[in-house]
Amino acid sequence: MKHILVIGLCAILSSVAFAGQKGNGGDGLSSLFTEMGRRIHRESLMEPYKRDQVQLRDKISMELFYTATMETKVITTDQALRDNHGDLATAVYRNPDELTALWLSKGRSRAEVEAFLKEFPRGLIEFNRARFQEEIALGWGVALKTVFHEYGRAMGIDDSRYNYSADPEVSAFFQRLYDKSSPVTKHVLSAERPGASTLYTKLDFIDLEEARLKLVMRENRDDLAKILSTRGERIESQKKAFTAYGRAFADMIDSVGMIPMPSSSYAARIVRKQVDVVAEGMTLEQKMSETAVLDEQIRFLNSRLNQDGDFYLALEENRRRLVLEALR
Amino acid sequence: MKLNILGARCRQFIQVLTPVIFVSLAFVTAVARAAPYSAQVDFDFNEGWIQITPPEYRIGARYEGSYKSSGFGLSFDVFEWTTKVADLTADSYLFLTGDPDDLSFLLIQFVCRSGSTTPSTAFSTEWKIGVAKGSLRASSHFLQGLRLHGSLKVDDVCTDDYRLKLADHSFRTIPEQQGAFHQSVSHRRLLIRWDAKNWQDALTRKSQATLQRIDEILR
Repeated sequence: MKHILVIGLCAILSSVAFAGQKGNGGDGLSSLFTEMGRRIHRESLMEPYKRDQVQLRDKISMELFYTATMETKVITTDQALRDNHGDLATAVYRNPDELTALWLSKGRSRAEVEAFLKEFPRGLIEFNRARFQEEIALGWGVALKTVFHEYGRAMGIDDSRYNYSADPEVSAFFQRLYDKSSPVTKHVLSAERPGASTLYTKLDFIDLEEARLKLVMRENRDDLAKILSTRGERIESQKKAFTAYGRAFADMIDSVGMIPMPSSSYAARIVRKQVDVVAEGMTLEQKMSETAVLDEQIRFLNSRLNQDGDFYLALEENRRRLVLEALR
Repeated sequence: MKLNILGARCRQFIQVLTPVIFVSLAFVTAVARAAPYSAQVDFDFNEGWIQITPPEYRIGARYEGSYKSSGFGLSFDVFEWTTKVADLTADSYLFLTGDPDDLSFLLIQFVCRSGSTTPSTAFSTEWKIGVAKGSLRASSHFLQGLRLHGSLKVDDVCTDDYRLKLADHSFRTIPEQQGAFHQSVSHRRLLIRWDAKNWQDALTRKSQATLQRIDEILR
């Protein structure tokens, strides 16, 4: 009876884990890899706005990055891995085409491959356990660099001709990212990660996951409240600037007796450009505007909070079922 | 009928029109209070209002545009209006969409010649205002030949049938409430108002709901 209960719990937890935390399959280390990707995303997206500096979120789509962490399967191996140049590598990424060719050559059925790609349309990241653990021991910057590199490839960023791993600046960048990261990020990355296959850890797994979710949700909740307040103040001041600008423009028209003529698109461009400049104070062409960053942060936090909220409630429901089963 | 058109582009445009059509110009200004023949648009987004005063064409009046700045690359010319026109509010329409932080309105005015069903003039001004994103876009269009409502064309706009079909947008019969906006017309002046103090955009509303939900979960 106990055996059946445990098997049932495994099935429930597996389905719940995949529903809420897609991409790790229950392996503690692969789960850490995925979580590292998501924390790089979060730290980069939530980094305070720097008016005079191009930031990571100005360079790559944060939404695409997050999607890559959700839609790429991550697995571990103890076998040596080699990159496209034949060199030993900590991790390799296989896009859907490469993965399909590889798996078909190894005798897997097309239906099996298609079912996998339906769940993980961005393919597979495989990494060597020992090498990855060595990188973590060397410093979080080194390991985060590997994670970012692989998810970058899942996003379609082809840097194969660039000797990425040999560039100390890249490791230094990710080490700084880690050093400046929130206490929750540091805690989450260092937290214990039980494997889903060990029987006695199943209830512990719920406890650990709920504790982690509570921590993450509190952080996201507080950040959302803070950013909403900042955005609200910003919009209020923007409305004032916008209104004042419109009136100043009218006064200018009054004073010079000038009327924009039927070249409407030209007039509209002038107005738009000037209003944009007044409202945003942009100095760098490629930078996202501060309002756009706030909006993206809010959208992400909303999405993350609701996903985590759903997952938390699912865990609670499973805990309740388990208790009831045990009482019968 | 005499036509004096501003700018070479308009001259080219007018050459393709039939002689019975009197073409006005569509003007775009940010807030063109000085322009006698531009729609006057004023607003205060903190207080929550936009006021639009469409141009008033007086019979036999002469309208001039002067241009003193070289920086804007605008053209200069003078035109004279001698045609009798009817009350514009009968044939002015407003299409308002969006919300107070990101709204669009399309103002369409037809000048129907008195005693005739032939539209004399048609022009529109479309505004796109993204307060939250700090952008303002305005553009104008001539509407001749454009299909506006089902099978009706601009040539039909001076008919009672057309006015009935667009009653919800007509200056004369516009509904008071349109989403978050309160609309009213007084003495040809259109006033759009909203509750700016209590207004929340979709992102804020969604976020507040999320915060409430998470607070309940974490409680």
